[in-house]
Amino acid sequence: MGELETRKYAGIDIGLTSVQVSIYDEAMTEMTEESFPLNREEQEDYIAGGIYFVRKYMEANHLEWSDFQAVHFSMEDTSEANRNHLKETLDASFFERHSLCVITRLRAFVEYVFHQERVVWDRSTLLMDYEGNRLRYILVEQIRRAKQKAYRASLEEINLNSYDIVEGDSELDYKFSRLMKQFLVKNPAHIIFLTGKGFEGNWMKRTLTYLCAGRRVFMGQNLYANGAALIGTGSISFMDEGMLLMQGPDMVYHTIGLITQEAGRAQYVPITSIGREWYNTKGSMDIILDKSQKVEFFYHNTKANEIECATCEIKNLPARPPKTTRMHIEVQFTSETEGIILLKDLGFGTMFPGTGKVTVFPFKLIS
Amino acid sequence: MRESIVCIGQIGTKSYRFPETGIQISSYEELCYYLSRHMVCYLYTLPEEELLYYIRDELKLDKLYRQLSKLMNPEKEQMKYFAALFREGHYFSEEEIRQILDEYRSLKNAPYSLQCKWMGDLSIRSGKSATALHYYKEALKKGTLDKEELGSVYHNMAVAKAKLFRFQDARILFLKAYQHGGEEESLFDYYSIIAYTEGMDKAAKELQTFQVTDLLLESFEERFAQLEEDFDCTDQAAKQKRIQFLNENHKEEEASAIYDQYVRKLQKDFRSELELEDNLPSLNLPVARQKELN
Repeated sequence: MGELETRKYAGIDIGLTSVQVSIYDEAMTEMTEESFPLNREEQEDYIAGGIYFVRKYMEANHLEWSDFQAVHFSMEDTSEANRNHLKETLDASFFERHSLCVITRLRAFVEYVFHQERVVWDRSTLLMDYEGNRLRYILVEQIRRAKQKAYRASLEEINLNSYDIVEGDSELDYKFSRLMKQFLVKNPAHIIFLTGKGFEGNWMKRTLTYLCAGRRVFMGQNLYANGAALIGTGSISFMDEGMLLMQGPDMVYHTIGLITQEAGRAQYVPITSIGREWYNTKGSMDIILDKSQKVEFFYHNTKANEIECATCEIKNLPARPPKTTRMHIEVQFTSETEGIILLKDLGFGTMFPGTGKVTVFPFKLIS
Repeated sequence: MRESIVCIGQIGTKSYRFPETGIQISSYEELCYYLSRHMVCYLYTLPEEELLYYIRDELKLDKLYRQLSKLMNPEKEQMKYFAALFREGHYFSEEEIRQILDEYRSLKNAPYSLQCKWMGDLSIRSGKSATALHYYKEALKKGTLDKEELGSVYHNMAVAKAKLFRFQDARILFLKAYQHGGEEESLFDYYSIIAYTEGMDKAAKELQTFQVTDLLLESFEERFAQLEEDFDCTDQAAKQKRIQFLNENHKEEEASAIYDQYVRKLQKDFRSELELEDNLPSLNLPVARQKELN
């Protein structure tokens, strides 16, 4: 009897000093995790260096890009130049099967958390990333406890100098535990994840004792890569429904939508959702123009809960009776707060053929 | 605040063709638009079952399909059928739906002869001459139409007959249309059909029996000349000229080949309608039952 084919999903985290690979196989109980540190020379072009190690790992394990159902990359620095460099570095065999999808580490962690069982994300969950004497944290908390729950994930950095904390210091454990006490009073968390080279070296004694008191603490180096791998298995419903506000670089926190009539009541219908990077945020919808050739768009700032309205006038359409012009609307972002809306005239089937004319409507959101 | 109409379902990869009119639709919104303007087609029937499969398979509106499947009895559930269909999406507001259903109700309550006349008008607009004739004959059965309506029915019957190449029948019907309705248009078409088949002199002579003024006759001649001029610019006229040219230049074989091709094309275009005219009684087109007529 032949072996049962199972789906595999890969997540690759490309950091400045190391690269992590995680593979989620439906048939396995645990993820396959691998980490490759980059030496000084490799760190100069850490993207190419990282991908080199990934290739070597795949060769050694007889893996091809086509073996994976989906591959997602998380990066420490997701600037356009880096995303393009990654695209150039990947070979043609990757693009034969996949398209490049890069996410931030904030998103990767949130994806990891929300792909776990409810107890992991239903209350406050914290990630501490300590590396190069920089402590960054991601706090995932519930911000609305109503029937329709909403969550917020924010990325912040703590200035360790102001706490006189220096990596390798003999009093590091004592100072760090004090910092944690102060921090957790302000930001109570029930589950804490620790990652980053800074936590290695067996120096945490007091800190761990304090952190573990009444909390669940996990430590691991592949959290981001794990999150990236899990995206392939399916999207988070909270994110699709716009119930997950992500506060961090590249993240979109506006929805762009329309007002429509549903069961006799006006209702806001979002075209795009929040919670993803601007370069991964897209949306489309078809609408029918009424008597006028105008479309009113509503921009909802979910952070400040404000709504702004903008009217787009579509010019030079052929004369047609009311309600016989179907427009395909496509929203694309060019930054966190800017983008374009494309409106394509589809006409109305064979009764009123479309012109295919595209109207470009740029938008700038209130940040 | 301007509200938008958000489309539901998908655009079908292939379109659905309504047999009554030949109009094609490929989305839920087009379906709503079409039906709201062709409710007269469903006074004694409902859209065919194939439309339900199209809704399910192409438009991906499974819920609507299931709902409509339960409402397929044309005698009891027509109103419910259309209400459910229009209320599924956002294309029509509640007020518009009520208005459409009210109009539908008044169409259903209209005299049977008028209903048949409307169906005939719709069929002729859709290029279905044989079907139009069937409905017009049905409309004339009870003899309840007023003079103006009778004129209109005879005129359109004449147009339908002319489209089926029954020129003699058309000629008589145009005349009847003029006698009942008194419309100048019917008289002009009567003139044109004679001019087309027997020449303009014969047509002018025929018109003299109606004691028309010289001015009217002149205007008819001008209009007919304009029609001929317009025809001269068509592909058909170009083909006819080419056949004539080839014959005159002793290329009869080539001319004959083009002529055969031309005839075959005409037969292809018109045969279905001509054959339909002969088979109409067996087609069971939706009309009221005998009980409803009485």
